[in-house]
Amino acid sequence: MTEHPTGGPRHSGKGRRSNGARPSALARFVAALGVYREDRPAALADLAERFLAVVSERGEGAARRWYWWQALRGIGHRLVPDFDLLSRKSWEGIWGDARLRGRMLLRRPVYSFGVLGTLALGLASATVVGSLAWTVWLSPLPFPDPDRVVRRREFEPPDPEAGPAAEAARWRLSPPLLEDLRDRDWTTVSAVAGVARNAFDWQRDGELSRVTGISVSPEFFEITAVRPLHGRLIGDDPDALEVVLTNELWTRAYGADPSVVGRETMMLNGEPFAIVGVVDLPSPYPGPGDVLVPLSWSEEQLAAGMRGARYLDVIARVRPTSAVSDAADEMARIIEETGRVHPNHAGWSGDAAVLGDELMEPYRGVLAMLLAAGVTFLLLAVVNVGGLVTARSVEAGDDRGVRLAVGASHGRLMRESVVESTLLSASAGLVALGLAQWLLPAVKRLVPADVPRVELVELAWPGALLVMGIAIASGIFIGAVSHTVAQRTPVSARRSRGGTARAGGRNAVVAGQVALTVLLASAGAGVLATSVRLQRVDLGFEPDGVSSTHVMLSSQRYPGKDVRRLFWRNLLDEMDGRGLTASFATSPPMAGVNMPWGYRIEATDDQYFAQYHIVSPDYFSIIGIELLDGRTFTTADDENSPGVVVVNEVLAREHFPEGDAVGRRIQVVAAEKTIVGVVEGARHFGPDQDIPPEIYAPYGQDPWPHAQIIVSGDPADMAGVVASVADAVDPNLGLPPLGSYDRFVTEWFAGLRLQLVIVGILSTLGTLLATLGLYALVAYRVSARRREIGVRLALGASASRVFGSVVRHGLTVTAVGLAVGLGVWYATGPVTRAWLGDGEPENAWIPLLVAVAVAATCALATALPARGSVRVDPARTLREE
Amino acid sequence: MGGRDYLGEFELVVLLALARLGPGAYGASIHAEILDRTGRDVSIPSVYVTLKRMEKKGLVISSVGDSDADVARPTRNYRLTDEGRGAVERSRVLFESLWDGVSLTEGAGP
Repeated sequence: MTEHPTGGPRHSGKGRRSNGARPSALARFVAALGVYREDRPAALADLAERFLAVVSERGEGAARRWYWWQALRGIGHRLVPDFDLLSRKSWEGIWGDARLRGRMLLRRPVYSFGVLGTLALGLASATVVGSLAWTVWLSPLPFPDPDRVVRRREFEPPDPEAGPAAEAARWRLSPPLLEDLRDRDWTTVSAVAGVARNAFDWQRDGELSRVTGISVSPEFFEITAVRPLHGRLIGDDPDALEVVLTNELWTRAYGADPSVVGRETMMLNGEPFAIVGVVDLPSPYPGPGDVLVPLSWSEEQLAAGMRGARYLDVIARVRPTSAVSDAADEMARIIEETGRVHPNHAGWSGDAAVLGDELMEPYRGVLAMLLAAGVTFLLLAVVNVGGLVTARSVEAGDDRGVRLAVGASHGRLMRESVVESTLLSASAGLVALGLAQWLLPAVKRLVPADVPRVELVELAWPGALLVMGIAIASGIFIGAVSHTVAQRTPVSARRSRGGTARAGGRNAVVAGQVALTVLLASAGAGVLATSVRLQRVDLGFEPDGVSSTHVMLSSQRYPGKDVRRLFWRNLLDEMDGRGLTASFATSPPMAGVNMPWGYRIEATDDQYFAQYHIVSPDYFSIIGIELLDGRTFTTADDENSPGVVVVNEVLAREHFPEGDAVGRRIQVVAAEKTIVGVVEGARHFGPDQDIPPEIYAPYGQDPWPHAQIIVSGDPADMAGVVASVADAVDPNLGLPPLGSYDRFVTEWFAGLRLQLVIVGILSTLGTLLATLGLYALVAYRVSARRREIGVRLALGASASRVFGSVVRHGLTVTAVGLAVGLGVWYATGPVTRAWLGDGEPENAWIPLLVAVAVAATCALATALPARGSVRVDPARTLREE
Repeated sequence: MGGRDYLGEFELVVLLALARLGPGAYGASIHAEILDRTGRDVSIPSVYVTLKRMEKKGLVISSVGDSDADVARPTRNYRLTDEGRGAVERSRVLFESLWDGVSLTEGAGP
């Protein structure tokens, strides 16, 4: 036995006054676990007394360590009498047991793999969701004091028709608004920065490629505390042609060569930007990017009419002396003041929200649900495996009797039980780590790419240690509990009241799992049914047989409307000349572009919002949007002809229910235009969303710098021609590769598929666990009642009758679980269904089908172990009596 | 269970400490006594667990805080039973009879 003298004076005076030093709550909790309940107050008081003595002898740190040792050794001793963590002999005994029990487990492969597999599944699912939740949600943003970095939010004026429940959209800021904010003397905020994302054409050695740029004002670096890895940051001059590379681009394109900094330039959108430095871009904000450039704008962009052009993110750092709520109040006041000065801001409201919370807001619910599911499954796995191990221990009761008779102590048997289950659980931990390591990349691919920081998710060693710790702790727990239960379970049919209460508890746990399975599987089936239904929804356009790619014109090279108009005209002419059926639109359906725009009907004052699209004449026929009334656009609808628009049937029905929309006047983009046609509505945001009101304008009258080019035909056949057309019109265009248009639809369904996969995995895991739980419950009951069954068989009960009585118990538990599950599903109605991803009332019959399937599985899980009951040999039982 | 009629090493250590302290001994004082005499910093929870097990075997008996009125906190006091004294005594006889005539100096042996 290792000695551990404390040295110094021994007895501290009883009732000595505390000088404030206390062992941690966790250490006290662990210490309490090491003693029997009735001894806890006295033992903890004794420990506290000695703790203070050790503090005065050896200092607080040493005393804390002493306390932990005391606590841990106490647990070891309680579990296994005569076991001491500090004793080498104790460990040698454990090692000997481990080899022996390991060999015995290998001789029972089905049981061993059942236990190991269940625990490994539970641990792996908890590990995967734990890693995901930790990186994406729970770990703080990589800024100093991240809770003081806020993002400004604004809400558009509430729509009186939508009612108070409809949440107004969040908008970004326009350059004139940002200038207003930066000029202000803030009391609560120390810095305000604008951040915008854009794409640049990068010309290097005659090759053209696209890079993602992040335009920032100088305060960005102050707020995020981003420091240069090499060189320096962007200076204060917004018009300086300076660029800072991200570490990623610097490594990828320049081989991390430090000599490029300060020496080379980058040709971005045709202008030479001097490379002044390299930085590591913080994740998840402002998101992935290649280069950082100064945020700048022309006089034209600062004009009063551009106040509605909102594309800037505004972040700020709250002063250490102010609270985030004060900053939000100040923001709200400023927005109100702005509304008084500039009428087109009137009615807007806003505040400031902690950036980290804002970024996580859309994902928090899902992650919390996943985390809860992971923890629940882990707990269920431990409980069910515990049940299985206990059933096994009870069955081995005879062996135990023999061992005790030949002199083994209860402590020794307890040690063996703990060692065996810990061996299994530690192996399960290792398997789970391997499984999680293998699953994480797949899970990361499944998660939508816009989830912040998902690229950083990995299984780090603290997480791995935690998993192993949980695995080993579960093993010790299962071993200790199963041994204790088995020891107290009489081999004869005697049943104590406590035993019945415990059985009642286990029945409830298994019934709960059956209920959970019904809920999860119903949700899974519901999502599947919804997915099938949505696949059949009429989208209002025809995504098959067309290809598309995105064009973004640089504002430096295409600064005004006239040059842009010319570009689009040349592009269409060139396409036409090569025999292509081509068109373009700024925000075609399901391409992920949201362009809500205000409009007024004729001379009225009420403002409404519609999706605003700029399109070329052939757009409607190529994308398959049907003309219902009037005409579509022609090349004659240009800057010299009267303003015209086409609206969709939703807008037309709402304002012109008489069907007389064509010829009426509508005010949009600060001009009055005539409606010349009505077209079919397209499901702009996906098959599950309502068709929004839409307004189409011809590009000749409002040429925008970006659009999706849409071409009839397969991308494989068209790619070469389209690329050569683009090259002919503008060799520096840098067109991304052509893709088939139905990729947008496929991507949309990918989100649904993810939901399907998650709910599918959860319900499969749930069913597996519930089945195992039921199996263990019935197996335990059969083992515990073997002697009673033997006697009944000997007294003439028929085998089928005995089998029936065992099965009845399992089926009763199943029935209660099914009833609870179905009850919860139907009682909580739309709430649960929406939460679990199924909002379809017509899927109400699904849970019934699911219940039938669950019932069949449970019947099997009951019948298998119940067969053991009829194999009891009455003669043997009577001999043993 | 037949039970062992000999004491484990730790059980003997705790019983001897109890015998030295007399009535009114409690966890911390037993711990301190063992530390004083042997230099072993045993775990206080282990002392309690061992005492509880020996109480079940009838070797010791406990009562809740019936002495030391100046200690304003929960204590559990332990004392030896006759059976406990007998067990300690048997251990001594066992060891003494084994030690009798044993010499561990080099060259000597059984």
